[in-house]
Amino acid sequence: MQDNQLVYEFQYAGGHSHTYIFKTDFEIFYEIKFKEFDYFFSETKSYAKYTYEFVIGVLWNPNKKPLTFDSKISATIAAIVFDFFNKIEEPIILYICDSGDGRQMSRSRKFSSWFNEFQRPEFTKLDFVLHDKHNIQVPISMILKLSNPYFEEVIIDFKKIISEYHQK
Amino acid sequence: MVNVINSKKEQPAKNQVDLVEYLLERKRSTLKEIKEDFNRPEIQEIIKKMQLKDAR
Repeated sequence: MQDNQLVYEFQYAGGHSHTYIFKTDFEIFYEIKFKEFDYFFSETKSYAKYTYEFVIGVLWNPNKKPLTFDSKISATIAAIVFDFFNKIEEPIILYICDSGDGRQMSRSRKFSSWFNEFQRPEFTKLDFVLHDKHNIQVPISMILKLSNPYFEEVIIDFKKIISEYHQK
Repeated sequence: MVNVINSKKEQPAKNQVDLVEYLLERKRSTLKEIKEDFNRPEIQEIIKKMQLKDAR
């Protein structure tokens, strides 16, 4: 995947949060983390320890370049996610769209578009929308493989967690 | 039930607002970590290697 001209070369920096780094043609360095989130599901669940939060952020933008659309970034993110799925046994990935700047729905649409573009048949994505104290929508997505041995249980549990909170 | 971690102990989130606040706080804290990672020597090394590779 890394030798593809449409994908930026990336480095796995490892660490507790499974950190990846790549640099764009515009000299912007991005970091992706898969941060353990073993307490999202009840810790009694066998799959709790395979749950990670996916976070992408700008590590360094030395020339303060604007963060414009770059199709190679999407392809690189996909390559990194696939790499992570190869490294870790049956991970479950959560993606929360930050609402701090009011662009959370746009982030969610972008994430969905990215997933649809690079989706492989063995993956599935579930989307939900939560609400914060100001009733602002906060999208959350979960990605896992259809082959995950706990697939059905994870889906039911995820829906249950979200719906439980909806009722309160 | 999601356990919300504060500085002292884990507590279950009581409602959706609790859960969302926790998730957003966690996410923002990770984004801050990413910015701070820039100062870590092992990350600096990777950045330098990437820059050198391009300079060649």
